[in-house]
Order: sequence, then structure tokens, then C-alpha cells
Amino acid sequence: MLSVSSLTKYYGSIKAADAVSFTLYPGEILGLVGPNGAGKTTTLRCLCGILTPNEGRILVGGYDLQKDDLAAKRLLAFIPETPNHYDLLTVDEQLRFIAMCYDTIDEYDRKKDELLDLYDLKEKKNTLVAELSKGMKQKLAIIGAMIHRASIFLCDEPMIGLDPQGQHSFKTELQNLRAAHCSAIVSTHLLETVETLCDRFIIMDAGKNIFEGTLEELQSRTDMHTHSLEEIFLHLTTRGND
Amino acid sequence: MTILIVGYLLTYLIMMFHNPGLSQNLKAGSIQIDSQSTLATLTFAHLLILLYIISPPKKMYRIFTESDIANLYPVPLKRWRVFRFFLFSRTYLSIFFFMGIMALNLSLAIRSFLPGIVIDVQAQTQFLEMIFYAILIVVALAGLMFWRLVLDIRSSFSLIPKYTFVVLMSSYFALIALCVCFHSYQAASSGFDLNTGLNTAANTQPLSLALAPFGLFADLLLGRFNILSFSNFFSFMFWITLCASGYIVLRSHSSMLYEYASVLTDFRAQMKERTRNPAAMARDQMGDKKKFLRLPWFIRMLRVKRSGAIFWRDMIITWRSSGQFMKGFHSFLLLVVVGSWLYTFLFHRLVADNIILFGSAMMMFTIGFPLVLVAVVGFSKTLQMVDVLKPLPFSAKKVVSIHIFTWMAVIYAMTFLPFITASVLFSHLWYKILYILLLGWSFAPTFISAFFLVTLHNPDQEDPIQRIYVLFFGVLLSFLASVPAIIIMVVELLLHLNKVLFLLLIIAANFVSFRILHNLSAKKYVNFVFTD
Repeated sequence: MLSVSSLTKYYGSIKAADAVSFTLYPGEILGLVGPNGAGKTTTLRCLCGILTPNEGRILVGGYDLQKDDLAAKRLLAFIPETPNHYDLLTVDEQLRFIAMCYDTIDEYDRKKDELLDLYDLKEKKNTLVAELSKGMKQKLAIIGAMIHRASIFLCDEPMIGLDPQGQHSFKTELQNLRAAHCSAIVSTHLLETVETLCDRFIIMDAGKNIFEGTLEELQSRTDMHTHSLEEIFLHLTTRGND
Repeated sequence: MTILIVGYLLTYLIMMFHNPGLSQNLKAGSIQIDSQSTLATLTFAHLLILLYIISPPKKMYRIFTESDIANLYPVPLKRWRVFRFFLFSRTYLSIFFFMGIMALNLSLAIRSFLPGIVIDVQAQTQFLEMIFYAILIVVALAGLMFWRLVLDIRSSFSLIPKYTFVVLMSSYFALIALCVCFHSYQAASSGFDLNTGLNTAANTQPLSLALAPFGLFADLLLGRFNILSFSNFFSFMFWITLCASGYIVLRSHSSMLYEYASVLTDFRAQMKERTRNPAAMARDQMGDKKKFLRLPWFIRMLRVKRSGAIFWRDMIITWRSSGQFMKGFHSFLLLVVVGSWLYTFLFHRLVADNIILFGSAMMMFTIGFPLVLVAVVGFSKTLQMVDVLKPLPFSAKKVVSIHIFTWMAVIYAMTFLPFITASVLFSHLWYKILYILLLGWSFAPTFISAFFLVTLHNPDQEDPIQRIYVLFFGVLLSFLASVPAIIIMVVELLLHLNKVLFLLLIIAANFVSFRILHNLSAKKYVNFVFTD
């Protein structure tokens, strides 16, 4: 569904992503973990087309993101770490705008009440985005990602700022999407969430993909069979460890 | 800047005391007022404004508003640095002020070339002189601005190594000193006085080049410039090249601005705390909440899909942020048109056709240009949200086209009704009024795309340097991109060929310029990322 090979991105002379390669399969939730500055956000921003990689190839549903970007982007939905919305649009207008861009306005009109209700935003339908709290803006970003027919969801710290109910709704929504053979990459620092929600995960450090697989594979590879993901993660990424 | 002003005044004084004609006229107490002396007076007025603006005030509140002081003083920026940014932007505003006067004078000449008006050879020469005058003033001001920029950037960010700067400046002053000494010595040995030597020195190529902005101003002030003079042409090329290369050099050293960026981050954070929510501010301007949220009929009517959604969104944001202003401005323009007609109709006043056409041209300029500047704010806000737009399935070209198209639509909408009304009310001139409308419309995309391209390079309008860059280079690029169309326009005015054919050629020339700028913008947009 999504194939990344040798993705490299420089910021000036700094290598933010260093030959990152992985594959995301249909119906899979892939966790992306790593310390701050590991290159997670850069990788996701390259995957959704915000940044142009310096090297490497990204195939989305068989479409090359560089060569056939429009077809590839139609399959993608991106939830950024800091939600960016238009302050002068209302909640309804913001969502309508996204739906119009993807030509799914009829579907939006059918589903909007249900989605807004799920994330407690129904009352705020005609409120300006500028007046929403940070958590509400995050919920709006999640709804925005759900209202077009995307099959790959790229989520960068999606649960930051969400209340417990919102977190639960989001996790449930991701599981529903998995059941519908959609895929997701979830970048997060919440390692417990990765353990419970994700099928596989990638550990990134200093721009490199240092591990890709399941928790069992990681435990086996590090010979830390009884340890939690958090313990192994700290062992792998703490400075001084090889 | 002190050096600049001293040089400016000195050259002016030297030139003035070496113009016997003017001295005699001054003694006799009669100076003939012609178009050139009007311009010269205006140039002098500009100098006074410039002096007023750049002279350091004894009390800061004369320059800063109360809110500026409240917001800017507590931030961790050196006060003098903030002060200089203000000076620079105000100098720029004075240029705009001067350009307005220049446009007024130019239009006086242009109107004598409009269809149906008798043209004489003298008027043609005067027209050409006016154009050159205007170009020289802009170039001279560009020269001054460039020096200001170089000095500011150097002192604030140390972009130019100190020794390079010292060598450059020493060479500059050494060249002036050498020329002055050489010609003064020659004059003295030939039995002439010092003034003759200074005057000869000022007219030599090296010195006229070194003192280009000062010399040009002095000539303009005295109303004695010579349009065929090689030195004028040379200094024109010199300053344009210098400005262009200066821009490239400064951009390539943008990494040196990191230090400034970190200071600016704190500045911006503090400003954010002190400023109100933009939506709340806009809503206050609109009145009650219901009125604010209700969209006008032309936006409600839009039933769009795909890339049209960007236009729809742009229209809503534009309406909510500056809709009230535009509505008021539009009503005012309509009132002016209808009022003018009522005045002529009720009081049986006979107004010359030229005045009506001149008014139309002025209206086009006064509506179009400020709106292009408002568009920069819109572009800047849009580019800050690039993370939302880039993942959407649209090509860079399409996104750029729609942003440009939005502002074209705004300008066209603002001008359409007043011009149509004017052409109906002043029906005997209808085709000429519409000709001016179409002419103005053809320049709009070129200007908008020029400003969009420059905004892409300097997207952060909260950064004083980037704001100045956008305004300064936006104007330069707009005029540069309009040159082919202007040349066609001048040829048409001089040769009186078929108006329709030339209008089509002007539209075609502007379209080509627009396409070039549009493609460059799209290319830049592909890799564009907004960073604070």
C-alpha cells in the first residue's frame, strides 16, 4: 500500500531523514517511534507531500509521489502534530472545504453530523475555528482526515491535546479503518498506545530507521524477552548505547 | 544615512550655485512655472519629507504610536534596530507618496495622447520627458533605498565582512576625492575658481556615477536634466544592476539571518500574547456575529468542487478579513462616479473629456495598486497555511493560479461596476472609459503574480525585513514585468495606430509576463515550506 525506499531529506547540511525504508501493508497500523529530533515528523511530511525528499522513492498505492503526486495524494490523509486550520472559517466551512477539494461533498453532507457528534463538535458547527481550544482543533483535524475516501492515514502525534474520550474515539476509528483494509502510520511518544494499537512499529533515531517489526521480533532481536517496549526503546535510543 | 543626506545636500548646493540661469531668476524674483519646475518642486518637497522622516526625533512617541511602544519596547530587540526598520518602511512609504504625485504628472501627459485628442510635437516631447523623469526619480530613489539597505543589513547582521565594507567605502570616497582634487587643481591652474572645478568634477563620468542618486536628484531639483545624457542612462543601469545583485547577494546570505530569526521568535511570541484573536478583530469590524458569519450572495452562490474549493475558501477569508473595507471603498467609488455625473448634469457644467478620462485612469491606479498590496497580506496568510494545502491533490501550478485568480477577481469586481456606470453616464466617452478599464485589467495579473513571486521568497510579513523586501522588490518586479506592455503602449501613443490592435498586443504582452511569473511562482511553490 505504501512503500518507502531510501528516503533522505536534508535541512541545509543536516540529514533529518537518512535512507529510511519501510513498507506499510493494507489493513495495518504502523507505529513510528523515536526520540525528539529522530526524523519522524520529517518522514511523515515527506510522505504527505509537504516536503520534497532529496533522495529516495515513495510509492503510494502504486503511484510514485514525485511523478504522479495527484493520484498518490488522493489516497492519503494527514493529521499534523499542530493542527493548522483557517481561523476565519467556521468548523463546518473548514470541513466543507476539505470535502470539496476531494470531491466528496455529498458524502460529507451525509456523514458530518455523525462525525461531529462522535468528537463532540456538533454544537460548534457554526463556530469560528479561531475560537476552538487546542484539543477541539485536533479533533477537527481528525474529522478532516476522515471525510474523504483516503486509504492511508498519516498521523503525527494525533492524540496530543485530546481528552480521554477523544483519544478513545480516535483509537476506535483507527481500528474501524483497519477492519476496512485502510492503513495508518501513527507517530507518537505514547509507547503504550503503540503496544496496544499498532501491528508493527518502526524505531527511528538520528534520522535512521533502526528497527522495523513487531514487539516479539524486537524482544527477540535485543534479547530482552521479558521487557516492555518502553524499556527496550530506552535501551536502544539512550546515548552511549550502541 | 547621514553621509547620504550630506552628500545629497552638498551636491544640490554645488549644482544650484552653478546654475546661472536659476540664480538670475531667483534674483529677479520670477521663476517660470512649467511642468519641469513643478516636478522639481515636488522632488524638493519629497526631500523635505525624507529629511523629516529620517531625522531622529527627540521623543520617540513622535515616530512610534502608543501601541508600538507598548508592544515593541518590552521585546528583546535592540531599540535602535526596531527604530531603523521603522525608518526604512517609512522611507518606502514616502516613495509611494511620491509615486502618486508622479502618476498624477504622468497622467497629465498621457491624457493628451488619448483617442480624439489633438497631439502636437511639443506635447510628444514633453510626454517622453515626463516618462524619463519618472524613471529617473524611481531609479534615484532605488539607489537611495539600496544604500539604506546595505548600511542597515551590514550593521545589523554583518553580512558583508568588515574589511570588505571598509575597502568598498574607502574606494568610493577615494574616487570622489580624487576626481574633485584633480578637477579643482586643473581649474586652478587654468585660472578658474574652485566652483568651476567642482562643477566639472561633478559632471565627469566617474563622479556622476559615484554620486548617481545625489546627482540625479540635484539635476531633477534644478529641472535641467538631459534625457539623452549618457551618464543618466549609465546610472540607470548601474542602480538597477546594483539593486538586483544586492538582492541576490543578500538572499544567498539569508542563513546569516538565523540570529535575527531567533530574536524574532521571541518577539513574535510576545506580540501574539498582546494582540487579540484575528477572528475576533475581524468580527468587531463587521459588527455583530450573525452579520460576520453570513456570507454575501456571490459566495453563497458558488457551488464548486476540487480546485474551485481553494477559490471558495479564499473568497470567504478575504470577505471576512477585508470585506467591509472593500464594500465601503466600492460604494465610495460608485458615489464619486454618480456624483461627478450629477454635478455636470444638474449644474450644466461642461467638463472636458480629458478630465473624465484622466479621472478614470487615476481611479484604475488608485483601486488596483493598493489592492495588490492588500493581496500580499492575503498571500502571506495563505503561505503560512501551506501545510494544509500541500497534501491536497492539486498541482502547484493550479494552487498558484487560484491564489492569483482570487485577487484578480477582487480587483475586477471592485472596478467593474464603477467603470460600467461611468461609461453609461458619460455615454459619449463609453468606449474610451472601457478602453482604460481593459488596459488596467490587463496589468493586474502581472502585478499580482510579481508580488506573489516575491512573497514566496519572503512569506513572513511579521518580519520587518521580509515585509520591506516584498514591498520593494514587488514594485520593482511589477514594473520590470510590465515593461513590454508599457513599450507597446508608448509606441501606440506616439504613432496613433489602431487602438484595438494595440490593446490586444498589450494584453498579450501582459499575459506573457504573467505566465512567466506564474511558472516561476509554481516552481518555487513546489519546494516551499513556511518556517518562522
